[in-house]
Amino acid sequence: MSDRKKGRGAVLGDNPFGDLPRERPSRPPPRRVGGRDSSPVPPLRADLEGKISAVQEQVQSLILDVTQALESGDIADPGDRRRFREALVGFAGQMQNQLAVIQATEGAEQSAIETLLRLARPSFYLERVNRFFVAGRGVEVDRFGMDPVFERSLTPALEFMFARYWRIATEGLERVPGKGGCLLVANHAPVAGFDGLMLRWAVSRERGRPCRWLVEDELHYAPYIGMFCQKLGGVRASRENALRLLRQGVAVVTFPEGNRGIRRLYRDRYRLDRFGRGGFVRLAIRERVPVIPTAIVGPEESAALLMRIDLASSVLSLPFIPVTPTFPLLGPLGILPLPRRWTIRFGEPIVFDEGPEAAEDQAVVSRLGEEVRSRVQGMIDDMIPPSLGRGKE
Amino acid sequence: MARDFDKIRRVLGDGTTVALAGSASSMTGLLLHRLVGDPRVRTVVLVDRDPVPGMDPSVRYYSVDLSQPGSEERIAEILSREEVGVVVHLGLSTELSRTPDLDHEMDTQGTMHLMSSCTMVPVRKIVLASTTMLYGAHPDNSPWLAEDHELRADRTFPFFGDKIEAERQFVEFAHRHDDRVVTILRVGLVLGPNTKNVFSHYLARRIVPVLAGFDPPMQLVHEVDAVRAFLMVITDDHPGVFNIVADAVVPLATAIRIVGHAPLPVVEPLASPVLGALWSFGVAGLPGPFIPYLKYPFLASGERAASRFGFTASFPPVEVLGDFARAQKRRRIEAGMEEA
Repeated sequence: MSDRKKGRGAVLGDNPFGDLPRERPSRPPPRRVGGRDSSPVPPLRADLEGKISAVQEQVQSLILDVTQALESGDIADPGDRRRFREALVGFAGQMQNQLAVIQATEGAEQSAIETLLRLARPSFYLERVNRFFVAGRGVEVDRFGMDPVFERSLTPALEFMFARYWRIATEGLERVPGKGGCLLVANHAPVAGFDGLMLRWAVSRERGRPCRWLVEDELHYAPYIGMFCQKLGGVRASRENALRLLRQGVAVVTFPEGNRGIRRLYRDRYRLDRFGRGGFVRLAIRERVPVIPTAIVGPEESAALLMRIDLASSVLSLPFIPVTPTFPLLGPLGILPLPRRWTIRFGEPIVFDEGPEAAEDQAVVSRLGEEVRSRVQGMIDDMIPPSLGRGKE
Repeated sequence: MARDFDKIRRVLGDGTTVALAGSASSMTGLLLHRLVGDPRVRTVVLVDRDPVPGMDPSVRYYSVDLSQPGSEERIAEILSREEVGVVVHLGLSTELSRTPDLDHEMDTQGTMHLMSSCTMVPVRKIVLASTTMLYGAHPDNSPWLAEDHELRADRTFPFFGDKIEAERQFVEFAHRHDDRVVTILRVGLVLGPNTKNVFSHYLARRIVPVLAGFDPPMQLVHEVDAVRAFLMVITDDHPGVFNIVADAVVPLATAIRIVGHAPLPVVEPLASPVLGALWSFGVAGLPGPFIPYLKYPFLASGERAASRFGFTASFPPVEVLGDFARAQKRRRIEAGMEEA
C-alpha cells in the first residue's frame, strides 16, 4: 500500500508541469500504469528544485536561440521572418494564458481572507448598489428635471405601455405642426400623469418633434409620481415655464382643467370642467402659436375614480387618496391604470387672430377658452361609442 | 505682458489692497491663497478670528472677532492703516455650528460692525459672500431665479434670516454711498476638496437622509469656480447682485450616489422629527428648516454674471462631486477609517 502511494507521488513529482510541455492533459502519461514498479525516486523537494531550474534553463536557452535566429539572418526571406515572428507571438500568448491561469488559481487561495474581509465592509455593497442605480440615469438633468438617459433606459417599457398595454390609437397626428411652438389643449383624467406622458410619447416619437407636458402642482409635488413625471419630461405648470418652452419651439401639452380634471369621479367621466382662467389662451395670443384641441378617450375608464378620500391625504402629501377598482386594493401597483384601449384625436389647429391687446380682455379670453373647450368636448362626444354611454347629463 | 500690466495699472493704480473679513470659513482660506501673488493685488489683509493655516508671510493678519462690541473702531483703524481698497465680507456663517447663538452674533453684529467701519474709512469697494439658498426652496420657484427675485428663505430660522438681513444692510449701504462699489455674490452650493459648509457636511455622511419620493435638481459650484468669481469682482468693478451658479443641474439622489454614499428615503411627515433628532444627536447633517431644500427646487439663473463679467462655471457636476468624493475618501484613509 505504502509502495503504491510512493509510486503515485513519484509520478506527480516527475511531472510537475505535466500540462505545459509535451503531455496532453486529457491523456494520462503511460508511465502512470507502471508507476508502481518503477525504481525508487529521489526526495520530492530536491527533485522539484531541479525541475524549476531545468525549466528556467530551457526557457532561457529557447529565448537565446530565437533571438540568435532572428539576428543572425538565418531566416532571410521577409515573409518567413514574419511567419516566424507570428508563431513566436502565438506561443508567447499561450504561455501567458497558462501562467495567468496558474496565477489566478494560486492567487485566489491567498486572497480568500481578504475577499471575506471586503465582503464584511458595507462600502463594498454600497459601491455596487450605487453603480446599479446610477447606471440607467444621466448625471445632469435639465432645469425642469428631465433626465434623457433615464427616459432612454425606460424606452422599452414606455413603448410597451403605449402600443401593447393601452394600445393607443392616434388620429390626426399630422395636424400637429412639424416644428415651432404650439399648444396641445387636452382633457385630463385621474391617471397619475400617464395621460400627459403618453401624449408626449405620441407627439415626440411618432411625430418626431420635441414635446413636453405641463403638470399641475398637486401632481408635480406628489411623492414618486411627480418625481417620475419630472424625469420623463413633465414640467411644472406655470406661465413662465410654458413661455420658455414655446419660445424654444417645443410643443406644449396642457390640461386647462387642472386639478379638477384629476379629481373627476367616474360617474362624471368625459364631462369637461371649466378651462381655468384661460391662461393658455393668453399665451397663444401673445406668442402667436396655434392651439390644437386634443381629446383622449380611455383613461377615464382605465382609472375609474370611484371615490376620493380627503381625510389624512395631506399626511401622504397627496391631493386626495383615490379609490379605484385597483387602488388601494393592490397597493402601489394599483396606481397603474387598467389596460383599456385609449384613443387620442388631434383636432384642427386654431390660430387666434385677435391682436395682442385681446390677451388683456378677460371677456375675449373667456370666450376663446370656452370655444376650445367645446371643441374638445365635441370631439370626445364624437369618439365615445353610444353603447358605452357616459355619465348622466 | 507689459501691456497687460499697463492696463491693470490704469484700472487699479498700483494694485489695490484687499482685506478679507471673515469667521474662519473655508472660503476665506481659498480666496486668500488665490489673492496672494496676483499682480493686481498689492497687499492682502486678513481680519479674522483665526489665522489661515499655511498662509503666505506677506499676508497682514489681524486677529479680530467681528462680532465683539467695539470691533468696528479696530477694523476701521486697520482698514485706514493698511489703505485698504476692497473689503470682502466672508463672515456669514456657511456651516451650522452647535452654537447657533455665536453664528447669529457673527452674521448680524459682524456685518453691522463691518458696515459701520466701512462708512468711517474711504474703502472703495465692498463685496459680500451670500448664497442662493436665500431664495428659499418653494414649490412655485422658477427654474431660473433671477437676482431681483424676492428672498423667500425661512426668516424665522436665524441661519437664513440673518443673511437676508446682512444683504439688506449691504443694499442700504449701496444706496447711501453711491461713490462706493457694492457687490453681492449669491453663490450656489459650493463643493470641493477643501470646502466645508452645510451642504458638504450633509453629503459627507455615509447614509444621507432624503425625502421619499422627491429628487430636486441641485446647483453645484466647484470651489475653484466660486473663488474665480470672487477674484473677478475684486479686480474689476461690477456693482450689483449676482448669482454665481453652474448651468448644469444634478438630481440630489444622483449626487449622493456619485459621491458613493447611500440616500435614505424618509417619509415626509417623519422627516422633520427624524432629521431634527439625528441633527441634535450629531448624526445627520441637516436640521428641520432645510427640509424644503430636499423637496423643492431653488435654481438660480447665472445669466447676469455671464453677461456682465463673463462668468461661467467650468466644472460639470460630475467633476465637482468627484473632487469632493476623492477628498472625502482621502480624509477617511488618513483618519484610519478606511483602507486605500
